[in-house]
Amino acid sequence: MIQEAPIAAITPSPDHSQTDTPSGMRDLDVHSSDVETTVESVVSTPSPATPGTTLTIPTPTLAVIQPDIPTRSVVSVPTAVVAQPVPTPNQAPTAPDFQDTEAKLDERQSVSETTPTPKAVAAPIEVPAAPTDVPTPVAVEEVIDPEETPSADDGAYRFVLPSATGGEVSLDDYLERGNVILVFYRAFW
Amino acid sequence: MQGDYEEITGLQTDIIAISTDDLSQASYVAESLSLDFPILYDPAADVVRKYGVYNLWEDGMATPSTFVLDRTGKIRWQHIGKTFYDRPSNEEIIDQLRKLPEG
Repeated sequence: MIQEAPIAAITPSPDHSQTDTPSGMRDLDVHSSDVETTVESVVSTPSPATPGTTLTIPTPTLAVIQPDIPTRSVVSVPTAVVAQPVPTPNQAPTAPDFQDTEAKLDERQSVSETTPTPKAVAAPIEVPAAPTDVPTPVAVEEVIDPEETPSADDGAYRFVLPSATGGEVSLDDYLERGNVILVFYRAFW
Repeated sequence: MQGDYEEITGLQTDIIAISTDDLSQASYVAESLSLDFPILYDPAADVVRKYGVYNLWEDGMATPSTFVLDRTGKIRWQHIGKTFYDRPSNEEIIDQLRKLPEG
């Protein structure tokens, strides 16, 4: 939706943009996975600049060619993404494509047509969704009931395990000396 | 826990830490913290399972937990973490140790 703005600005011939762009736009609205596909094809199509390079290097030149319009659209697009700042940098890339094409208007048009790239933003959106490492306390509480724990009332399981500093350690050896605090931990806990 | 180690050993108690982390990492922790107590390596989580604290968070790892065993090898107190940050304070553990019968 928002992409319309930049596209229109870049592409003098609305016909083209509308012909090619709509498909991408629909994809974006429907499923991000579809969008990804679309984006990839789109990205590879425009030859002017390498997608990877473009992504990391926002160019000022673009500003000249494309006034504020793209920038604003960028801002508004990610709105859906809100908490995820990542998308913003990716948007900028879209612009750099055009700067290279400065001399070639025609090429630029084709690029802009095929570059409903702003959707590239959609891709990063789904990626960040993954990092969810917060354990679920709910399920745990159920399991945690002390009486569920096998060794709660019995003698503790006697083990012999290798030590990180070499050798082996036997629980019994330690019990002979006194009480033992047994700590199950994980890295940096 | 290292900080209160002296007080804990004063209560005739030793500390044993068990991790399912890979050995290199466990070693790193042991050396970087220069711990006075052993860090044991239980890659197959066999012991972890015996104590009923394996995979309670459904992440395929040992669930952070603390057990206090008296000298007869009986579990007198335990705390099983509900979240990553849910762990007993040293004071809490030391209080439990004080309740144990003198050997």
